[in-house]
Amino acid sequence: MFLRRALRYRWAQALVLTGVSLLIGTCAVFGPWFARAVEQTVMTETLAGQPLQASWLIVSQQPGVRPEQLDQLLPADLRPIFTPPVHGYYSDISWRVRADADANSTRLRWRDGYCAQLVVAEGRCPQSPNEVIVSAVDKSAWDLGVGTKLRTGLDDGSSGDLLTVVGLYRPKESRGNYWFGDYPTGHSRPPSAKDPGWADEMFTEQSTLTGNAKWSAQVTSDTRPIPGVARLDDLSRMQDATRTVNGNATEYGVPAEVTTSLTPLIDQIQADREQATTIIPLVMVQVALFAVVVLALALAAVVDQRRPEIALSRLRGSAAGRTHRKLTLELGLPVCVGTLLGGPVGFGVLTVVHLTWLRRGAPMELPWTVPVALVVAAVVALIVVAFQVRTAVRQPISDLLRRVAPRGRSRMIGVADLCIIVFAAAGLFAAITGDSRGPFPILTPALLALAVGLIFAHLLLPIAGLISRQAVRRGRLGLALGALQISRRPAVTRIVAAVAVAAALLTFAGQAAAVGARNRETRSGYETGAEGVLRTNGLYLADFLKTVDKIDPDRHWLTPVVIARPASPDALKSEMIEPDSFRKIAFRGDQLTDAEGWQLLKAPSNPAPIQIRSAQLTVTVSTGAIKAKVAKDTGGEQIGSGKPKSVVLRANVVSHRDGSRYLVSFPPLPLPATKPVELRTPVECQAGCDLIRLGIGREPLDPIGLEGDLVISKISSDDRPSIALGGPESWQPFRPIGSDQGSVAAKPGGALTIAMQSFGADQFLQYGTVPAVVPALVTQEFRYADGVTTSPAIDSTPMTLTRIDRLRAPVNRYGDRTAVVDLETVRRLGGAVDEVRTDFEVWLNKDGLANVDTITEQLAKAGLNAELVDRRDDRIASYGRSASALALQLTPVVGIAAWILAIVVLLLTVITSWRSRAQDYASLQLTGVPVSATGRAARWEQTGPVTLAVLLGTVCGLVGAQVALPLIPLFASNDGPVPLDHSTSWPVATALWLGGTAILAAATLFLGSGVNRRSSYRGIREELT
Amino acid sequence: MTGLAITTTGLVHIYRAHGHDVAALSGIGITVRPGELVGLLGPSGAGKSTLLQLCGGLLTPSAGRLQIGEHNVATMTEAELDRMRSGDVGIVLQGAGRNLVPYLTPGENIQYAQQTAPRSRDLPAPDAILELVGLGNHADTDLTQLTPGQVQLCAVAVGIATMPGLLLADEPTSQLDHHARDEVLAALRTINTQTGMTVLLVTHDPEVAATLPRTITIRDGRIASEGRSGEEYAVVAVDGSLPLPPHVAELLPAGTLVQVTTDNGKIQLTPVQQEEDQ
Repeated sequence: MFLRRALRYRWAQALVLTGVSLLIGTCAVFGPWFARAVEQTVMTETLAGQPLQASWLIVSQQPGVRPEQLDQLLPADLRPIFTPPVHGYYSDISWRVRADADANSTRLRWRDGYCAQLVVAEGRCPQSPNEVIVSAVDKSAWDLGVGTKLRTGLDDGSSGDLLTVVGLYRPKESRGNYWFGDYPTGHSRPPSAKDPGWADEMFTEQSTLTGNAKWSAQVTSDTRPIPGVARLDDLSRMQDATRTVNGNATEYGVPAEVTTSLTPLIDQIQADREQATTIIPLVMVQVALFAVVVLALALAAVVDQRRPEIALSRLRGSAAGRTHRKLTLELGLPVCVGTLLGGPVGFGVLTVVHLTWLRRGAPMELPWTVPVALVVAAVVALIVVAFQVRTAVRQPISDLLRRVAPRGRSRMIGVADLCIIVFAAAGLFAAITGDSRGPFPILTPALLALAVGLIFAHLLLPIAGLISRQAVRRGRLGLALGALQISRRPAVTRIVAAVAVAAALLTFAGQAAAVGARNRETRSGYETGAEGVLRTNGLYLADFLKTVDKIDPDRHWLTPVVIARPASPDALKSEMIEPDSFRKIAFRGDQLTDAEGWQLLKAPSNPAPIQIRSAQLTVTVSTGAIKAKVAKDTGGEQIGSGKPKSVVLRANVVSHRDGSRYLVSFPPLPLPATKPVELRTPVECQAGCDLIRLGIGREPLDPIGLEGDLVISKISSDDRPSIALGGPESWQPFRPIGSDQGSVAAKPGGALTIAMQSFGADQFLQYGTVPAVVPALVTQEFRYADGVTTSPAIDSTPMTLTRIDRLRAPVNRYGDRTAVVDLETVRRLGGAVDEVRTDFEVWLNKDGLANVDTITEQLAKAGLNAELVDRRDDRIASYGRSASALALQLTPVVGIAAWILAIVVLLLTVITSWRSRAQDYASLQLTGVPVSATGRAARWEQTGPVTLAVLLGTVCGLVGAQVALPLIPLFASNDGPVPLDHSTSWPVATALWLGGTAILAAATLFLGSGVNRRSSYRGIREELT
Repeated sequence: MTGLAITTTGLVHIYRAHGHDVAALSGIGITVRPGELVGLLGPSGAGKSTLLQLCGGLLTPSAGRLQIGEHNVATMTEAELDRMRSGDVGIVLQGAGRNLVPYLTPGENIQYAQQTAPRSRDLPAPDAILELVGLGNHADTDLTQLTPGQVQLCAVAVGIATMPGLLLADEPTSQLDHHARDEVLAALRTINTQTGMTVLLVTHDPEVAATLPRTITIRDGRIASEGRSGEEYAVVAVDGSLPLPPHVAELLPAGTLVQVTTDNGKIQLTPVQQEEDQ
């Protein structure tokens, strides 16, 4: 009946209740809404960022199949969310310009709308059968031009048609989405002694490939989900279709196979979704919980002020239930309106967030959880109203008639307080005992602060009384009065608890944001390896290193890294680095190992390499007494009989020209050879070589084992009449994996005496410039076995490793199953680069990245096409767009919201107690207490507890962060080689603590001074309230 | 609604303070007839406000009997007490502002109070009630515009909004100037005479007490005396005890042996000299 009048009379209170409820409603709807928007954004970003992995690449090798037939494999209900398929034909052909020229390879292709994707540098696009347009890079490599006729051959060796070049092209977007990963490479390689030639892709008309069955063209149809159109609800259908497509192809009779990584991509999206659905509720629940607590505190203050009206109502005969309903309606209305307004406000906030944080292309949806959350929030808020009103209404009328609640009641720890303390203790216990599951650990920052704040607040009242009495004894009137006021005002518990929670949430928010950012930056750094990575198409290690030396001899900008991958994904890969430059250039490169580790990793500086520059090698050798050794097979049976006829001296040399390693075999040395024999063999070392191994072998028809000494008394080359081989300590047996029972060992005598035991296989001694067992830093998760574990060298031959057990940090860029070895060691070892499994990379620091164009240009001049394949900043940005990062962007907002709520509580408490406090101080002034003393008391009364509450809240926030942060999935997968760092960010914690203390202390000092100024005789008079 | 009688017999109220039981009332026995205007007098802490609150059902008696009309207050449930307050007993608290909803006008305050009245009761309009207490033209006046005396009159009007049989008024004239005090007293008298409502008011103002037809003085939780038309009388309790007036009590210190004799209808108290003193 008088509801409107009541609301209008206390409009400020209604406004505060509406505001706090609005926050609850906004949090309630924003949480699930934002989570859904983040999920959609992550999906859109993932599909847009990984177009190739998301693609369905359908290929049929069966002749006569039309591309349209392949489209049937995409279920009809998914077609609206997939791009229109791009159809194509291709055939790998050989071609030559002249009949007597070497054959070269290329891919002849037609693709729907290809001409629009090319820049025609010369001539035109094909318009008739057997016309082709070739890459501009082929012009210089092959001297191709408009009008050139190409004689084609097929894989089966038969001759094909004559193709006419009608144009030269460059791709418009070399790696654009149109190509579905199958783009013209821009690489063209004329044939050499080592390799056949390969031209870039040639494009032709469809009829060229379809009109002649001899081409055996493969048919393709490429499509992918459209980012922004494909929604979360489509994920499961896409996943099902992807899993069953190849099976369905057989069922439909379409002879095709689909290649796609959509399934793992969907798994990644699902993992990202989990991040969003974990972090956002976690963050929003904290602030919503605090908002509910603040609403309860605000309602407690408001209801407290209504006590005379409740008493009046009861006095007029209104039953407790009726009074309860009336007051609940009066207070519940603004609360309900505020909570429900949270819906549109949440939508507004989401729209702003969508336009600023999230990708604009991601669709906005209204998940069912939003209205449910809004209703739940409204119900919870109304329950809080009903509970607070009930507490007051159920008091006896005689208690309600008192100006303040009876003292004993307010000093008791209530059931709600006790519940909070128990929950916080449970969360902390769960965290300490390692059972970090369930809601308690997640809510620990807020609950812990609330519990500690409440305990502190309840302890504060008696302690303040004690301080007051002591201060009186010491004559400190201001402190005494201030402490006395604290001790007799239970309302201080509200302020202390609210401020503690706000400080805890702010601290937690700061820690979450700082820890998240730090881990993203760290992981990006380790995953990239350095600030930037250039990958080159080098084929020769020596050339590559020479070029790098030329570009940056002092390694200010870059460090070269070579990666060799094993055939099996379960085996170790090799990351070959230059220790000195790696320490400077790579991301936290100096932390990879300690000083001793670096020392052990490096190639030995002694002995000096044995260098030769010659077209032949000459050795003078002899043997000691040779005994025949009979080998036994696995059944213990002897293999062969008789005497050994000869032994073959072999050597490994590494060419200075290209780093290749050659095996050199001298003519067989007939046995016995008690007198020195001079043997000579040609070597391709005119440009210089390093002799790295000497060893023995046997001739195929000489199977009998032997044992004895082989004495090399002299070895010479064209440039060196006598080559010093060093002592026996410089030569270590090199035992390849799987070698037979034979062995060699160096021993004193002559230039080099080799103690032999041979059963046929080659046996080598390796010169000390290259350790026979390569020292390596091996990642911890790999099960290393001494003398057995290997990793590939640049030629993919296995290197036996010895682990340096001093790995102190994650291995940059290739973190798992990786052996870090010294690049110089590998260079000395030499070998022909395995193009498929070995990559040459140039890692750049910030300065290098700034000069990447110069570096790329100089690499290109040396014939090395380099591409910037990775940048740390890109990865940071990418992680910054992850669900985790997007969700954690909420935390600062939450911290600020918490702080605003704390100030609301402070203001509300001050406003509701303003008059009585002013009356108290005025009364004291009338009794002769100086204004300065009441002023100090007024300021002390709140500044002291609030300052302490900020400190306590900050500590709780830090402890809570340690408990709750490990529960936050910072990445889609936390199992990577880079460990998560949840350590406290002290600069952030200190800054927030100081900032929070300064703001609240200033506010309380201002309010305290205001109260003191209003302490006048007029204020003592009874007034209508 | 005619006035309600108040009958108390051996009424005791004990409350607990600082760990001790304190007897606020110790066997009060009074009878107020329907339609009477009675003042409760006594020093601070004597128990008069406690008696008033017991009558209003705001406190529960520790022992004894308290009958308000047909209601035995000592045995009533909370709901029955609510019903009693909604129709049969009106209460005016000390401090006029505490009786009024601050954001409502006098007329609305009366309406607010009438909301809980029994539906069968034919209630006068707020204007009529305000007219009765002398605030005829102030039904829609903002409370902040009223003088303290008018606010008190408004509080009285709210107290009788449901036309109860008993009006309990706690210090209705305190903090008022003489003119306002007289207006309030006049209003209470008018209510008493025109409606037949029993009025029990607490005061410690002797001038107010002097104007009342009957006063009951309470001291130390007991009936000390009763005044009728300006004359003060001691009241014999149910158990035969008789509290002495202060000027007599000074002559008879505690433990004094008194010889009680009757002489021609008069009762004479004669202190007896004890042997030790002889």
